[in-house]
Amino acid sequence: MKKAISIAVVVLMLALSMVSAFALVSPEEQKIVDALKAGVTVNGQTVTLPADYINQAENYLINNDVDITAENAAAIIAKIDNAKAVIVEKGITNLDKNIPSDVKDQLVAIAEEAAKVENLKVTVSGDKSQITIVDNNGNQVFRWEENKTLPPTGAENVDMSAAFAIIAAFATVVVAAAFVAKKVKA
Amino acid sequence: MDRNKKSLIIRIISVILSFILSFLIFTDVLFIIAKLQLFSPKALENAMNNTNYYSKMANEIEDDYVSYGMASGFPEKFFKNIIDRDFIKIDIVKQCEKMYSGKYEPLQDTKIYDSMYSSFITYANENDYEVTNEVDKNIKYLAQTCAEHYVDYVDIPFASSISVYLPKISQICIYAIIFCTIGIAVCVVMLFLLQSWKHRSIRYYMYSMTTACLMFIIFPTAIYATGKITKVATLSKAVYDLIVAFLQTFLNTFFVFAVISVVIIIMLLFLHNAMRKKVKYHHN
Amino acid sequence: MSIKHKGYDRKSFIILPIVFLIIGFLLIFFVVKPIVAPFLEYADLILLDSEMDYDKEFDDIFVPIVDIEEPLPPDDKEDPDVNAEPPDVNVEPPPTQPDTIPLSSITYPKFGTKYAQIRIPECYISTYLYFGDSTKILKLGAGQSTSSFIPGYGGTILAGAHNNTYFHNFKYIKEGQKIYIDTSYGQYVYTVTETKIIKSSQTKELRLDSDKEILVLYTCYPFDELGLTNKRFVVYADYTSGPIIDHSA
Repeated sequence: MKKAISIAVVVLMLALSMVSAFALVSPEEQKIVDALKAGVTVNGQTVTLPADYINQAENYLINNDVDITAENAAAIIAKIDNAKAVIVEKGITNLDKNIPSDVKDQLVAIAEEAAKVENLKVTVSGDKSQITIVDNNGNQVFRWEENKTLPPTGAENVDMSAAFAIIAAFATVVVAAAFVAKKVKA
Repeated sequence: MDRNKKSLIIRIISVILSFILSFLIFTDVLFIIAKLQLFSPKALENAMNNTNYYSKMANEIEDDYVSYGMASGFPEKFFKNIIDRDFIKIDIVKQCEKMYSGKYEPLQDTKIYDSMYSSFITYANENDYEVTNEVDKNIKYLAQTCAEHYVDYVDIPFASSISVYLPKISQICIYAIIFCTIGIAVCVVMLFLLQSWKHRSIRYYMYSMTTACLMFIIFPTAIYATGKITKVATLSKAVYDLIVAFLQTFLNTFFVFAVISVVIIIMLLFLHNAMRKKVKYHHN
Repeated sequence: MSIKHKGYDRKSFIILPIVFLIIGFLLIFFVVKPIVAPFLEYADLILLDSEMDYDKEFDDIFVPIVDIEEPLPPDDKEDPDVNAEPPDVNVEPPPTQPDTIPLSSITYPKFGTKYAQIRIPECYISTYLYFGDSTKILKLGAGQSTSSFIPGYGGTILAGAHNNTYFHNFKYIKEGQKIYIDTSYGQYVYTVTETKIIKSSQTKELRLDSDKEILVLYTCYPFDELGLTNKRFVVYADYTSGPIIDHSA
């Protein structure tokens, strides 16, 4: 019996350690990525953030080796939920294109609030056709381009005007949180 | 007693008027500088000329074109000086003037497209490339991409949003200048009339000018001291140099007014001493 | 009395302006602050803590764990002899390479970092790999999308380069050929499974949501024509060997 139980415990622990191919170092970071991956239901349809943007956020979290506290993770997830609420309220079913200008403005406003959290800087060129987020020293941490046509890239001729708003809202929140956590750690 | 009380009241009113005068002088100059520097297309064009903005911008665009070339068979040297520097200057100046006029529209010119397409076709013909329908379509797409890129660079970010406000703010500046100037005149006259010994009015003018002079020095110095002027986050070096030069010109103009106010103070000092000597002479 | 007057004049000349100055700036501060505060907050979004360095070189963290030749400049590219035997390159993985490595032991590249080298010996392709795919990076080598992950992580590795320079020889690529990515933490081998021509708008074809490790390389298509098109030549390759990154360590 004892042996059976110990084998069961080992198996269980092995199972837990292989939770996901994308299990991050910190459980809090995983919660944030899960929140980004979780879609919203709009008019009976599930709308999700494209993998492109989730991966950028995930890359950033790994890159900075940040341990986000439960408190900060909750705050970040709240910002993500704000952005999702806007999407649901406005009935946006496609996050790749044709998002109305006023919705974009709301989402960018959420992103800018998030950017202010830890001194992230938002540089915008053109009429919001390119948004780059840089850290305190001007190092690029995120970039979005509308209708990016320069090869090689996978994003030419796609209406990215919606994507920029989403990215700004979601990914900046995550990136900002990384800075928050970094400061807390320091 | 009454005479002393009256004298005290006059002094208090004079001090208050002198303070108001100093404040009005500073505010008047602030609005004058804002009107001449911040809300003037000529000032922006001067800054662009001084920082070689047009040429730097053209270089940055050509640099990006090289990358397009790497994806489309055109060598790096092909894009060297492909953008006419006079041409880009005309476009940028035109956009600036539109912005300040309150009726900004993005650049709609097709000249750049025609110019790029023509250059590409000339290169293809000179290098014995067969320009089939498919190739022609690809070259047109490249020309279109280059033209859009050019417009992105030349168009002023957020100009359509801020352009609506610029003429209104400029108008407000003019009203503020008129209001402050009238206020200055009123304070000067009141101070002069209040004093029984007229040389004392000159003293109060000097207090006001000195205060204004200190404000002209401290205001830009404080902004320079933050060190933020040179820490603008912009991905384009041309835009960075322009913004820094533009802001520095705006702030340095205050120092010019500080020098002018020192000159005025010295003149007032001589006037004050001369008038006092006259009063002393009459007394004696 | 005149001396007392002079003393009064001199003190007033210093004290009064200073008092006026303090009151004046306080007045400006309290009156103007509510109006200017939103603009200052916005300005803070675009002001850094240090000056932008426009001449900064890209970071280089690449130190290969095996001896490999540096890539040739793109103008010196060779065309492979399609009838010859493929070159014999790194058929065995490096002996010192572990099967797994902890994530914490890796210097994760930041945007603009040169961190690996891609080699496709049978096509005579060899170029440095940068993390990030800006126009400046693509002039120097292959640029990896920051929407993808590093070799060994377990996700999609997406990288592209220009068809007239570093990936010009993609026209010779075939299924079954080996692609090597040498990093500072291991050598990775991928086997080409598929090539495809897609439109640039078909982003789903980049397979960024893959739940296994795959390598996706792409460039513009066609290879030798003048002009830009919206077609892309995509190469898919499955992970074959290389240390797996342990996320939990």
